[in-house]
Amino acid sequence: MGSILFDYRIVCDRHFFNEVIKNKKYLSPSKPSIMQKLMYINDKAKNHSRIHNVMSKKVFQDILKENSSLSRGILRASFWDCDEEEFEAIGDEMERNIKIAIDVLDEEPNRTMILTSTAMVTAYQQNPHYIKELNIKAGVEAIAIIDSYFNSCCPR
Amino acid sequence: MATTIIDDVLIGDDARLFVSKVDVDYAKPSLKDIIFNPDNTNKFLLLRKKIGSKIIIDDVKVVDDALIDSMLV
Repeated sequence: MGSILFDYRIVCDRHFFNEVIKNKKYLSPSKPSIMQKLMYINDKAKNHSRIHNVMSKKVFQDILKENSSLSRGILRASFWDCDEEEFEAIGDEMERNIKIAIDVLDEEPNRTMILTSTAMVTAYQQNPHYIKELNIKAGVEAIAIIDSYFNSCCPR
Repeated sequence: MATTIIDDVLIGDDARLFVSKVDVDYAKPSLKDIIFNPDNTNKFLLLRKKIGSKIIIDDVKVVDDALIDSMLV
């Protein structure tokens, strides 16, 4: 199976990681796990292989600190730790994630989706830096999109 | 001689390409068998490499849900 141009780039925050990947509050009906599916999506993305799924470097490093058994290689296979000085200097994490997502909009497919927890969706949409071109997804809705992307790049 | 240990996740084919192109040793012969297992073509492999005067493949694991879950407890 070749590479796929997915219709949205993905920016993932710590709340999505903790709610769906670590604590499994919402589960996909199909195997493998969401973490593995994101690994395949990140690898198979056309023109963005290994950088399709974006995460702030600070968030990436915090996740590694909080999960000392988690191999950096595993997390890196699922997410690119974006290290843009301009964004990483932003102290407010939500503002930082929104600005990373807006920056990614400049690149094909010119659509970005922020994955977060169900409790944070409204907060993102009400953030003064939010723009309507960004899609905010969480919970079962986010899982359905990941499942659909995985099925398109790894048909069974 | 100081060594650096690096974890890298590669798809099975890429892992084979890597160990074929670069002169590596294996901490245990069974690690080579894992990389060259024909079932691993489309699977991700976690390679733990010890980089010193020579690259040593220190550990190889097939990345599956059990491995990921064991790292997230």
